[in-house]
Amino acid sequence: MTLAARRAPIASRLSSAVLALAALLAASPLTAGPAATPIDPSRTSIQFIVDGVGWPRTKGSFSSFSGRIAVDLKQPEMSSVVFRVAAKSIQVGSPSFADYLRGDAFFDVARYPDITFVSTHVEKLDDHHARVVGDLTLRGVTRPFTVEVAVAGAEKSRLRFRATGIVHRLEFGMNAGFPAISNDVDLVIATEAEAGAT
Amino acid sequence: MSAEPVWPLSVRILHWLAAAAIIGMLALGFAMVNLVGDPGARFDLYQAHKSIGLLVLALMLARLALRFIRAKPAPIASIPSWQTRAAAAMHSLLYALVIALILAGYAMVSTSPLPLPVALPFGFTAPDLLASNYALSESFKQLHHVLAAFLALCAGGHVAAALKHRFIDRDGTLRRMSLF
Repeated sequence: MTLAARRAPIASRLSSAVLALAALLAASPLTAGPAATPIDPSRTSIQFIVDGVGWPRTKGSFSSFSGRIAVDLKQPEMSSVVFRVAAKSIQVGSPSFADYLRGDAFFDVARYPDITFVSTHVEKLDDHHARVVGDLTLRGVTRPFTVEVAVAGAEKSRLRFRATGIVHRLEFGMNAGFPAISNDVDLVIATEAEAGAT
Repeated sequence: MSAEPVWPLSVRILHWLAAAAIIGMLALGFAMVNLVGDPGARFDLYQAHKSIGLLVLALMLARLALRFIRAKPAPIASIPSWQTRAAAAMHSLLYALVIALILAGYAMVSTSPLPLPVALPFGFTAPDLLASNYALSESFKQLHHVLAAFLALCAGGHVAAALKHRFIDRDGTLRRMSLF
């Protein structure tokens, strides 16, 4: 935690560079592991759910993002994923509500335009489930973040993923409204990717 | 008939403005908490409720000032003095309830851990005077809800009394407040 805390300011300044490098490494044919392919935004959704006291369960999504996924079915630990989400693309069903969430109390998109996730470790749990551990950067703070991923074959050589995880927003300095608004934010990411050549 | 004393026009205008605003705000408050499930729509309604609430506070303070500045019409002779006194007490209670209700609402918002400014006309926002305190905010929320229910009850009594004067006693009480 202390290491992550010390890394945080650096990560905030260099998050773009780190992400670009990670994407390059993930995509590079020179590195071991499968080739990374860009995610198809039209087949991808990033949704979150937050609970509050005296407030209906708030569901929202992000509409602008990019990412690359490399899948190796034979050696799952060689798989990797990189995501970059435009924080300002948050949608919650009301423009004024979304504007408020873009402000400094929550996402502070003027200072921290990107939310990024870079996987560091992929572990196969069974034939249809994997655990992906990585670094999530939100509001310029980088913390380890784990998602459980359900994998289904959509078509031949095409895989469908549904990743779920819980973001503890206080860890990222997003304290506004706590405890009226929950610390835990459920994250659900659905996407598809080509299975790597095996 | 024309010599019959009425409330000053300014008092009558502000009375009916306040009546419409208070009934609307009670309905909006109830609906946004109990009937609206969509968080986006609810956010917008809450923000409107807060802004309108502070405008109603300004309206109530203006009405209070007018009550001291402008002369009150003489009591109607046919009405027993205990009823006149009861009416005056109810009017004071209604003023106090509306103002307390709005102040409780403001305190609930200001002590909330959520930093969410209340918009006022011309781009201004209301000052946030109280420190964030979640437990206190929840207490003010309870108070706001209890005061709203009590105000709805008292306002209902106020309307019932006005209608009794109009249709049972057939005196000029309601006409003295009428705009037309």
